[in-house]
Amino acid sequence: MDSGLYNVILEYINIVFLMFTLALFIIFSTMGYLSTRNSIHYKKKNSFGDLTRIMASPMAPGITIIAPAFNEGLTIVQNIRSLLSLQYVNYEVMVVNDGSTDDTLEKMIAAYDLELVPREIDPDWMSKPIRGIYKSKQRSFSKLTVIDKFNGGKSDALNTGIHLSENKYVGCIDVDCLLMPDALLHVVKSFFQRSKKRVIAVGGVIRIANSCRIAGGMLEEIRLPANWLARFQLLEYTRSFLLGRMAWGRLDSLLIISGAFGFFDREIAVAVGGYDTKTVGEDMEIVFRMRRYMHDRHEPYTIEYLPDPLCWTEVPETVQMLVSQRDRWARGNLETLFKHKDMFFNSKYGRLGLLSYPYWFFYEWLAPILELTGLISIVLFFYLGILNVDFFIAMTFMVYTFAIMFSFYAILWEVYMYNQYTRTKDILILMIYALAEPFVFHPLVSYAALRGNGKKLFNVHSGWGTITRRGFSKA
Amino acid sequence: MFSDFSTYHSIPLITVPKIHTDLLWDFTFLFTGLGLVYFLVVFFFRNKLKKNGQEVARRKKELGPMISNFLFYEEDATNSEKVEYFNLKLEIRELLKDDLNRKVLVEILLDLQKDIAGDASRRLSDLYRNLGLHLDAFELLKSRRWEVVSRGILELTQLHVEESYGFIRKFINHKRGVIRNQAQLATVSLKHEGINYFLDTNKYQISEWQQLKLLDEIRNLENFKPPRFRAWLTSRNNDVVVFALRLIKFYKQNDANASLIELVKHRNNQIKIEAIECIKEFCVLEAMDTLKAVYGKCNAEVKIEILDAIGQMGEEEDIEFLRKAEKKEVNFLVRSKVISAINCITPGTILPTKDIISTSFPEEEPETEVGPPIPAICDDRVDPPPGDTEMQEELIPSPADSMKIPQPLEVMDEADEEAFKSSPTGEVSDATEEIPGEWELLLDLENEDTEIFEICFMEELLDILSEAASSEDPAQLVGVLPLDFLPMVTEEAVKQENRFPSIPEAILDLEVISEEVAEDAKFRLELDSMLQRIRVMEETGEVSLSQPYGDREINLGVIGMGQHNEDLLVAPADPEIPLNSAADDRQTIEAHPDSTGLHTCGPKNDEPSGEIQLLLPGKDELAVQHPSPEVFSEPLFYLTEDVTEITATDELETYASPEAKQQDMAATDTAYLSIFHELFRRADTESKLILLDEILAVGDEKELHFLIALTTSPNKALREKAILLSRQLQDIISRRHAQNSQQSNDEEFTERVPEPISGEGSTQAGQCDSYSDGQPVLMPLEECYLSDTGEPFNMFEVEFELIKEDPDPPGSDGNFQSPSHTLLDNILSIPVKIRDKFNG
Repeated sequence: MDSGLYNVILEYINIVFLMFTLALFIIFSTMGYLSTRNSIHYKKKNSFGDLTRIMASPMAPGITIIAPAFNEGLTIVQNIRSLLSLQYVNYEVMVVNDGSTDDTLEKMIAAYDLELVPREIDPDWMSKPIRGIYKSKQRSFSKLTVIDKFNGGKSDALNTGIHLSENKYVGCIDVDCLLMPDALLHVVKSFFQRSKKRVIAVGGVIRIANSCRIAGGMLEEIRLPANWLARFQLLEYTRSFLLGRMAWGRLDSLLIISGAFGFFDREIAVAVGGYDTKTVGEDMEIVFRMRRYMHDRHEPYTIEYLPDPLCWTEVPETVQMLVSQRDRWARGNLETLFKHKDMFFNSKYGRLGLLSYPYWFFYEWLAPILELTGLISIVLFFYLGILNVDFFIAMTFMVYTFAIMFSFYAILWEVYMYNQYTRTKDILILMIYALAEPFVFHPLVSYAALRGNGKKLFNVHSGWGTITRRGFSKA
Repeated sequence: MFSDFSTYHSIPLITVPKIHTDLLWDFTFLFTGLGLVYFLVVFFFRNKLKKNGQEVARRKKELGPMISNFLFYEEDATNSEKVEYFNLKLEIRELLKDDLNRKVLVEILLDLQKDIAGDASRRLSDLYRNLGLHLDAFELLKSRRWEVVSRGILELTQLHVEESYGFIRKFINHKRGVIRNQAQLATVSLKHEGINYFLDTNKYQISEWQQLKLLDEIRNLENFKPPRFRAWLTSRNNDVVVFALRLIKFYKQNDANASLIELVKHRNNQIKIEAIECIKEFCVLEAMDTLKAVYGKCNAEVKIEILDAIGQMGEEEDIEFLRKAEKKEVNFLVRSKVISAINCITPGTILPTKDIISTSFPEEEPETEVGPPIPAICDDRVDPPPGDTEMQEELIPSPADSMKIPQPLEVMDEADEEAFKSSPTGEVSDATEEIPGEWELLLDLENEDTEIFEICFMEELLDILSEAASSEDPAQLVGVLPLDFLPMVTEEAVKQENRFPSIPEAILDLEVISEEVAEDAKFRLELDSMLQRIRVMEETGEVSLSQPYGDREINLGVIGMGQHNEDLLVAPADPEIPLNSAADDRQTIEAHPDSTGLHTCGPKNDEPSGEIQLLLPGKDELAVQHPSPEVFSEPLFYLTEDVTEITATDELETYASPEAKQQDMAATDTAYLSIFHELFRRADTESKLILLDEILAVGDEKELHFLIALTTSPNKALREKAILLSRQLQDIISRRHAQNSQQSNDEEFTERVPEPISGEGSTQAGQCDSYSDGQPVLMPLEECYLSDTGEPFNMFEVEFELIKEDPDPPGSDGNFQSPSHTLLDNILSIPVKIRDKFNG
């Protein structure tokens, strides 16, 4: 090949990477700006008014919290007790025992004095058969409903709960999540505060509870996680939830609601058929479908996002568990994007088709692949002696400093909005982790994403995998 | 060579644009700089937040007590307090020159406002205005920033600055939603007519959240008289209509039926639903036709509401409509609701069919399993028809079933059950046995009854006491025991105790008239206590229940039991009816027919059949039939306690043995007063000996009698110890008496009554202990005070003075308290007395 052409190709490769990176910078900067505006607006708007006054209002809508449980015998009783102590008058806790093979059901029956209750079930509803529906004999646990069904996975369990709920809104959470006592009040406010648009879903921030002190179902002290991997995830979550999702919320283009804390308008959720049981990214997929459903009917709607720290959960503390989790997320992402590929740059879906979907495609799904390509190219070019070293070093430093700057901005915003880590030492540790993240944590996450994509592309069968939680007592 | 001739120039497309590496480094420096700035700002923010927090906390600490002093300042304060108050006011005014102080002060006031109400709240509001802080809030209203204006509105609203109403209500149609919402809340809360203004003038949509908050504001208004909200059902703003409907329902204004029926036809589904909710709430029967008419055009949500309304208000002629709806409907939820509505109107019309195994009951397989529950279509309100009760009961899983994985359903139908009942064995299958067990478990009838009885009993007693205290009629103060909640005792109930052979049949010949009480241990205990109390009265001699009231004596209801039967004959119509016959130890309780209180009636001489009755006010009565006098040779105390409390046959036999009888007879009148008597009844010999060791420490005359009674005990050890102890106790008592008589001569009595009001040995209700000429005299409590003042008696105005307690209570001297003052008190104080006894 002509060396001139060869050089041109090489130069263009550089340009492509540069453009991609610059576009990423622009998008991230825009997101930072939008999230800042949204956060300030949110903070001002919610600085007055007392939510607890509404707690027992006769007009308070009903909410069903659906918590799927599979082999949660160790902590199920405490977890339910925590859920039953929320500050709200009109809610139901529906625990769906998804065919647990341990003593989850027996523990629930014994602890909450449950008995079978008769209930007719829609024969057309597609989910695994229900073995029994239990209610407590004690009035103090009247908010609790336990559904025992054959194992069908998390989505199937959630669908069962959605179907059996009789309330206007359903909340899908992980049973081991710790909800703040006023969580439902915030959720109801989000559902109810719009007058021109219908709020079809409400999502929220997931906070990391590793190492936090929790007693009596209450978060007593917020501490920085002791585990190094959990600290990296804390930084990542702060960036993602406080900047990323706030920005997409501002644009009304949020395409994902965390499975650990997501609330839906039951009517719409049922209308779209509930969660897709064939994907591992069911939390993202249902939002896609609900949005498309409303778009197709030309009904004004929105999805609200709550930046308040209302839901706390435990994150993986070992590399193996982390990789397994991120592998699943990557597969779910790919499955969802593939399923809704007709939205890609489809102006019919407005910002969803022109902005949200492409972002997810390029920067959530494609980025790890491009990173891998870039890495291989660097090694190859270096081996061939054609690596533009100046460009490579300048580019690397630019990306690195941007990543650090963005992480610092996220920390700044965390301090401004909530200031939950009160010790100066904690903030300094987070900043040090921000410096190390591109070299330690990011490659891990990229590897997991690549593995997940690889499994999906090469049709390697893989399910949810198992995550062993250390568990934090909530009772 | 070609290049020399070529007319082509190099292709610009493949001329790669030059990437200036310096630009990349520039970006790198920029990001680094920004990163450093963020790093510094993070700590700057943290320090600032921390400093601000500390400063505000310090000032709050300084200003908080000042505000408290202001709030609790009284106009009638002393001069020094007034001086202090004015100095404080000057000091605060000086402090308020600082902006941060003003801000902190407002924060303090707003915080306080959340926690107080009524007069304190008004004072707080006055203070806010007096300090001129409301002017700052008015200034905020002029701001161009929405959050500042909103804060000003909130401040003025929370501190109830009514003057701001006119200013704020202008904002209720503001283009900024936050200001608008805050102004709406302020408008409805600052003045009662604010809701009218808001509903009249609101142009914007009202979010659900805003409606929720508005309702919260309205329902927290003091003395709020809601307007007739039907006036806004014609509003062009659909949200106003929805809100008005909700308010109509909340305030139960059922004067808008015609409008409600019209609104069912509204295009807006939310309005439809709210109108149907109101129709259901007020049971607007004339809306039925409209509901049926619009049904077909509604969506599933509205259909469900309509069906719910039809189910609630419908009659049998509506079934046909529902049948048709059921056939047409494809939506599962709606179809279920149709069935539910049908079953609500005519319960049991549609029965579960899924998974029902309909077979005749096989005799060779008598056991039937109850599997998973049958789907119930009817909702909770549906009462099962009589014919379906058994079926419905069968559907309820047993507790045992609830703990295991349900098996395929097998339910015994009515035919099966009939066949089973008529089976030769007569055994009840598991299924039929489990169902009552389930219900018993669920309801826990026995415990629940006991608990209910306890609650009722105590409530009644407290009511009696409070009525007695508040009654203006002195006649009602005493002897009135509205114990109509007590069940009536009749023969049959006690027949269950017949397994104790040593109890005379006649004693056990008791029956419950309307309700069995034999199983009600609590009741028995209470009744025993009451009867024991009566027995005490009997022991202490005549108990007169009359008191002077004008020129006549008023019967006070409960009659002493210490009289001979002859007394009954002497004055059968006399209010004072002695009941006790000491000669033959027969206890009779007889009620005076004119008495309004607790009547006790016993056999008169001309009524040899004998019946002990506690006649209760009203229609209920506690009647205990007793045997003929010769059979009834035991004290009544035994009659009640033996039958009700002894549960073990051997105990009963021991107790009913001649020796035991002899022992108790020897103890006669006072032996049973001893607390040891009760303890001995349940103790074995060893325990009795231990108890006897304690008797010297706590004993008095009662225990002496008790010991004397024990001296005839067949048990040698007991007998010997009793003899020894009785001597020692006698010595102790005589020493004690000597000391008391010495003391009594020296004592000054704190109160004296004008004159004793009753005859010898008779006492009155509500009496207080007084002394006349050194002798204790008992008289009605009201008499003690009314006689001097002539004012109406008010128990709560009695000024008590503690006096030394007489070591010999009146009861022990033959005088006794009247029942209304002492009977109930004694019933209530039995546990305390027992405890005191134990404590010495």
